[in-house]
Order: sequence, then structure tokens, then C-alpha cells
Amino acid sequence: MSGVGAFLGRFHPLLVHFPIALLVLAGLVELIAARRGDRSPWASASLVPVAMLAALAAVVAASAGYLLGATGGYGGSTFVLHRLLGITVALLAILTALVAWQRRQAGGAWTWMLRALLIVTIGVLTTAGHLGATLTHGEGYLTELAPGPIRSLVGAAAPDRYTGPPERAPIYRTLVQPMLQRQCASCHAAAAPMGGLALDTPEGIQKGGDHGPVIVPEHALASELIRRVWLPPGHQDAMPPRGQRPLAPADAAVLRWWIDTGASFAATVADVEIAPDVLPGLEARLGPIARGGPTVPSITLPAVDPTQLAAAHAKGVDVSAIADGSPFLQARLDVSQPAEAGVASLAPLAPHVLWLSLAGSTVSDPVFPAIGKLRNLTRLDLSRTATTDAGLQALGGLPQLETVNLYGTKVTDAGLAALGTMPRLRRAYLWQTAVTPAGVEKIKATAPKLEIVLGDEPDAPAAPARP
Amino acid sequence: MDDLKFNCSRRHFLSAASLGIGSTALAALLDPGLLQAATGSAAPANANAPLLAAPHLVPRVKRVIYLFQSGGPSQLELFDYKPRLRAMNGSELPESIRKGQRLTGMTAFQKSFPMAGSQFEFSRHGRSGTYISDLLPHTAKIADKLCIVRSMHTEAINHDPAVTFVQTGSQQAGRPSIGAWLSYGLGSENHNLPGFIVLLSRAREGDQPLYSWLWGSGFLPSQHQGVQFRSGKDPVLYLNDPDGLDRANRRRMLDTLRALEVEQHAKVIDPEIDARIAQYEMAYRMQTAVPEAMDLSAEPDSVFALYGEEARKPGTYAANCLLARRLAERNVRFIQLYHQGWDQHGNLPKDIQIMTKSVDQASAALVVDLERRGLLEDTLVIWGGEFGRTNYSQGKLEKDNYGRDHHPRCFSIWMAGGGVKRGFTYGETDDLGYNVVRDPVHVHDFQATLLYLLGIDHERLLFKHQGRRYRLTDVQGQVVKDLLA
Repeated sequence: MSGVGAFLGRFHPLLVHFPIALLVLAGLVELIAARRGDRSPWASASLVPVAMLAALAAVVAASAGYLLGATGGYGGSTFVLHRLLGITVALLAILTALVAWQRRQAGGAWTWMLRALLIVTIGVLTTAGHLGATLTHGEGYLTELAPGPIRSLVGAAAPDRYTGPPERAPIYRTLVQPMLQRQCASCHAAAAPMGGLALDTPEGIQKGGDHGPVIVPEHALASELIRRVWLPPGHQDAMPPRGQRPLAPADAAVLRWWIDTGASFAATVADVEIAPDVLPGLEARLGPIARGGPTVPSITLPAVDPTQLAAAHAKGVDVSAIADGSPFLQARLDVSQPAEAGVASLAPLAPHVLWLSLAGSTVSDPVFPAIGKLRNLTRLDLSRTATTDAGLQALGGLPQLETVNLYGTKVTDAGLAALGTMPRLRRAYLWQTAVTPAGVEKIKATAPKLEIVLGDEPDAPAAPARP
Repeated sequence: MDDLKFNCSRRHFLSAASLGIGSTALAALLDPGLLQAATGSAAPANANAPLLAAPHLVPRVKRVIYLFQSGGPSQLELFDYKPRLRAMNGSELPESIRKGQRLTGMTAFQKSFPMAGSQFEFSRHGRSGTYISDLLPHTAKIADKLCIVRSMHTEAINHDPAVTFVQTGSQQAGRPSIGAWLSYGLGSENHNLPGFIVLLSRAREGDQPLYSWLWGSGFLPSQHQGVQFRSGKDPVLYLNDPDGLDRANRRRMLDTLRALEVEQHAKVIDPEIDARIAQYEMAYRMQTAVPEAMDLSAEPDSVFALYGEEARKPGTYAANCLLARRLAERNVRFIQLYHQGWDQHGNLPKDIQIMTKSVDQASAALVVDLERRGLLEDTLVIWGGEFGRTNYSQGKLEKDNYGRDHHPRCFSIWMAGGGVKRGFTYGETDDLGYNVVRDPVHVHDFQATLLYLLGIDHERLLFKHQGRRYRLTDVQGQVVKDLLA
């Protein structure tokens, strides 16, 4: 639709306030009439003109609304329901005016019918008004900033704030989705997708709008979404549209970065390369991002029991938190203390222990099953001990282990097989062991990401390349 | 006399009411706020407990070996390859490059500033294709393990303030050095050795002197100062028992002394008594730990082949590198080497060869040795001096001889180890090797990065002294994240 209809349709947001005010006024007037009766005769006398004006305003507003809806761009269940209830309000308002008129003529039983009608009309009006506001401002606008108790009362979801380590933050869920929700979903939500585009769900983003896809993964500059967002604010195609707050440059940068890195709905910050222009923005929102720093599991653990820490200290194990406030521990055994008792003292702390050094200690085969129970170990130092192949096999494949130091042990090529089964193992130090280069080649075939340091001296310099 | 019992300050009360070394750490683990409250206000209640029960951030390295090249090694002969400077050898340094930069008194009155290109070749090494001078053949072999920064710059132009600036964050003496800050903040990992040990060497006589404030504790409690280990019979002076006093006797003496002090402590609640007992006990433990750590006799010949035969000679740089590895194996937190002789105002082509010969093999050997032992995983090795050297010749530029003056605007260092990129070169100077043109790294940035690697936020490691809070990086410093692996 175009021309006069579309022009008039745009008066809907203005006109819609008249029937709302007049119908609520009608309800108030009737309330006063009911409470004060003959003492306020003006109340019952004024109801008929108010109700008639309300009916007129409702019909005009609903008509304008119908025209606006017909101009296209609107859709979805919220819109359909809003249109239905809006027309219903107009019809109910006409009915109310007629009944009010009838009561003035006949009185009696019409009064109760009138009051019931007023209650129903105002109820439907409220619902329709809320849906209309949802179309304009987006889902959840009303409760977004409500205090906790009120939110839980109306069943609104708590704001989804990510609190884990920044490196593990899912990019879409913590950075992209809240931004789209805030900036775009008032018009482009699945419930009312203007232009057929819903930007509040992964499906909607992937599907695109009436004119086709809006993102091209890995090609932000070819993505309609980026084109629209980057247009100068006054441009006809710019989004968000003229008069609304444009995306902050940092948000636009994050959006571009997200698309350029594949527009994945599951990737975390650590999974992708961080472009220099988005780093400050990311850190402002998530906190300092440790790049390539030590791996810290993104699991929550109860606080460490201090008596267990003290017990480990008593067995000669130097245990401390890896960082302030972290539930994860580093542990190092005093070489003069028996390894068996030391490792046993860590059993109650098992999920907490991330780094363990038993270097130079009396560790022997029976200790290894106990070490294997420390499931979150990422670093294990067994250098200069009597560790054997059997011991390594008894570890039973530590799932998180990244580095193991076995220099100066009795490990042979047979022991490498046990290392090959550890899924996250990246580096193993095997200098001064019976491990052979041939054995290393063999394990490379099954564990290509595992780097084995045999400690050979660097090769004699090959004929250096002259500049 | 009984009044003394009540002569008890808040701090005394806190220390008496609180706990032993282990339980202090424990309490902090339970409630880090306890120690946080003490941050920057006073020494922690227990004299030997570190300020921080745990680092601020997850540390990437646990210890540092700083191979300090005292005197200002010339970046132009070692790491910063400048073919254009060589092409323009002998031309006058353009004012558009110098831009009024101040000079030292040694060249300020020079009438001419002839630019001097390196007389030594550079080649590309490793998969990274890093340019390294042919003066450093061993270092070149580990090019793929190095993280070279060519854009360091400093504020000082003379040795003493410049070294002091790198080591303490201030050009004036009196602030705590890096190792002292670490000892104060993180404590010692080895109960039998100090957390901050200093080793000195020189390859040429008559170079710039060093001062003990460079490893001093400044206003920090004095047990945090670096302990200098000497070469020869007594690595630590006055540590050994006097002749005729055996170890059992010493033990009895310490036990009796302790009994007396416990008695005294009951009368006068003075934390200094605790501190003194702790220091006596540390010295007693060091009596066996130090000779054991310093004894190279058990090192096989293959080790001396790696570090060079010079490592057999106590007091050489090579021997100190080998000792540094032994101390790192014993979890000493900060091992500071100083190697003197890099101040080459004249005769540079000849003297720099003496220096590179004395450091090249052992420096590279240290990195290789740490790596095969798995220690490079959590150790950071730093190689560098206090400033760079000018691209023009001090004195007359001759065909095969020249000198270089001090140059604070750019110099090169390298790092290797846990937490920093490998086979990576950062920063760039102009074609004439005078100014930094990309990614400058100020000394405070370097210090902030160093602390960051150890898990310390340089803005939060503070000490209040004479009414203000001090930190290593003063009021500056940005962690250079691009260097991080």
C-alpha cells in the first residue's frame, strides 16, 4: 500500500493515545458514579459523551493502525494479535457507547452490563496497548530494568550476564546477541519481524529477511547487515533508522569481527583470532583477555577446604592458589618427603589441582593411579624420578593434561603410547630417557599435535641465508 | 619492665595474634581480603610471608633469569640490521633524524656526526628468518626460540641512571629493584635459598662499575634485597661456620639462642625477634643449600661442551649462566646476572667481539638447557642492557675502527621462555637506526610486561613509603600484549 493510506497509517502511534485516555476516563467516571451515586450526578450524566468520543477515537485509531499494518514490514504473532485486539477494542468501545446510551434511556439492569463491558474493554485495551508497545520497543522492554523481585513475579528471565573467564566467553551469546537485542530486536524480532527479518534468534539471523540473507559468514563487508549498520546515520537505508541511536563504533566493530571470524553461534573468544580493533572493546566488557596464557578450566568449584590444604602442607606438599581468587591449585612436593603420602594428601583436593610438580621426588609405580585421579591436571612434572612406562600407563589418560615433563626418567618408546592417548597433551619433555627418535616418529602419526622435546642440541647452522 | 608487655603497637598485636608462615598463607587463601587490606600500607604481619598469597593473575612464568648486559650493547652490531646505514657510512647524521636529541658530554661538542654502519654481517636465521649478527652464531641457532624487541627506549642517557632505571623504575637510586619487588610480592619458592640472587661477571677491565643498590630493597623490608653469590670459596660472605665450629655446635648454638629469644619474645612482643630467628634459620639452611647449588663438579662434560669450556672457570659469564640454570632448577624466583664490558665509545669493532665471544655461547646454551629440562615452560630469560648506542661514530670514523656513544632512543633486547612469543621480532627503528618508528616499548612497559608474565598487575603491587604509594613502574607502563604467546 502506498499514498494516502500509508500516510494516514503513520498517524496510528499518535491517534492510539486518544481512545486509551478516553476509555480509561469512561471507567473512572463510572467508578465515581458507582461510589457516590446521586451525590455526583454529573458523573452518570457525562458518561455517554465520553463513551461516544472514546468509540469514535477507537475506530479512528484502529483504522489508522490497520492501514499502518497493511503497509508491510510487520508480521509475526505479536503483530497479528495486536491487530486483532485493536479491532476488538474498537468494537467493544462502540458497544460500550451504545449500552451507555441505552442505560440513560432505560436504566436498571443496563448498569451492570455497562460496568462489565467497561472492565472487559479496558482489559483488552491494556493487552492490545502492551502488544503495540512491544512491537515498537521490543520484547522484554517493560521488565528489562525491573528490580529482581518484580522480574521473578512476572516470570521474566534474569539478565544473562556472563561471569566466566573472558577467553571462554561465547562470542554470540555474550557480545553479539545482547547488542542485536538492544539495537535491532524492537523491529526485527521473531515475534514481529519487520521486513521478514528476525535478529533475535540464530535461525532468524541465518535465514535473513524478505530481501535475502543479511550475513555472509567470513565476509563482513559483503554482509547486508554490516552495510546497513555502517551507512551514515542520515542515509535512507541506514540501520537503526534515522532518529534512533546508531550502533556504537565498538559494537559495529564486534559485529564485523564476529562475521569475519565465521559468524559462529558457538565459538568462544579463545577460538578465534582477536582483531586489534575489537580488543579494547572486548576487554572493556569482559575484562582482561589472557591470550595464550595457561589454560584454566571453565568449571565452578566449591571453595577449598583449608583443613585439607593444611593436611597437604603437613605431608610436604607446597599448595597454593594459582591466582588470587581462583579455586585452582598448584602443588609441588618437597623432594625430601615421600611421594606416596604427598600425592595421597591431594586426593580430597583432586578437582582443584591444576599443576603438580613431583620433580626429583621418590615417586614410584604405586603412586600413579593416585596421580591419575587428579582429573583436571594440565601440567605434570615428573622429571628426574623413577617414572616407568608402567607408571604412565597407570595414569589412565589424564583428559586435561597439556604438558608433561619426563626428562631423566626410565620412560621408553613403549611409554609414549600412553601419552598418545591423552587428548589435550601438547608437549612432552623426554630428554635423557630411553625414548628414541624412531619412537617419536611413530607417536607423531597417532598424536600429530604432540610436540616431543628430546633435547637435542640445535643443528649446526645450515648455510645462513644472506640478505 | 612489665610495662614493656603493653608496649604493643597495632602491628605488633596483629603479628602476635596471627599465624605462622603456612597458616598466614592459608588464611589468605581463605580470605584474600585479609592480606589485600595490608596492600600498600605496611609490611605483612609476618616478616617472611609474601605480600600476596597468590598472584593477581594466573602466572605464565614462575621465575626469571635476567642476563643484564651492562654498559649498553650496540644494537646496530647485534640485532638491528640496517643496510641503509651501511650504505650511507660516513655521511653526516641528518638533523631531520636527530631532531635536537640531547647528546652526552662525550660527543655533544663533536663538530661532525658521521654515520657508521655495522662492520659485521647479518644473516637470516631459523624458520622465522630473524636477522641476527654473525657475531652471535650460537644465539642465531636459537632464533626460533627468541622474542626480540628492537624498539626499546629509555629516558636516561648515562649508565648509572639508565641501569638504575631499568632495575628499579627510577633514575635515582633508592627504589627497590625488580627482584626485591618480586621477593616482597611473591616470596621465595625455595625455603633454603633466597628468592633473589645476583651473579656478577665481566669480560673486559675498566668498564662501568655496578652498585649494590641495583639489587637493593630500597624502602622494602631488607630481607628482600638480592643476595650476591660470589665466585670462589665463599659464595655468600660470612655464611660458613668459623674454623673449629662444627655444624652440630652451630645447631646447639641456634637452639639455645632460639630458647633465649622465645623467652624474650614472651616479655617483649617484638616481630623483629621472629624475623631474626627466621633469618638465622635461613642462613643455617643456606650453609648446606648454597654449596650444593654452587658445586659444578657433578655436571657432566657434555654440559661444559654446551656452555663452553669457560664455564669451568668460576666467575665467568658462562659459569654464571650454568649456575643460573642450577638455581632455576632449585626454584629461585629471580636470578640476576650482570655482565660488564659493553660500553664501547671507541675501538668498538675489536671490543664488541670480546664481549660477544664471552656471552654468545653461554646465553644460547642456557636457553637450550632450560628447554630440554622443561624449565623454559615457566622460566623467562631476558638478555639486554640499559640503552643502545648511537648510529654515528664517536670520534673519528675510520675504515676499520669507530666508536658509538650512548643512545636512549632505541635499543634491542631479547626474551625467551614461557609466556612470550617464539621466533618473533617486535618493533622497528628507522632506516638509519636512530628513532623507533613502530611499536615503541618504554622501560616501564617492559617492566609492566615482566610483572604481568609473573602474574602481577603492576598497578597493584604497591608499597607506601613517606606518605605515598610506590610501584616499580611509577605512574606509567602498559603491558605489551603483542609480546605474549
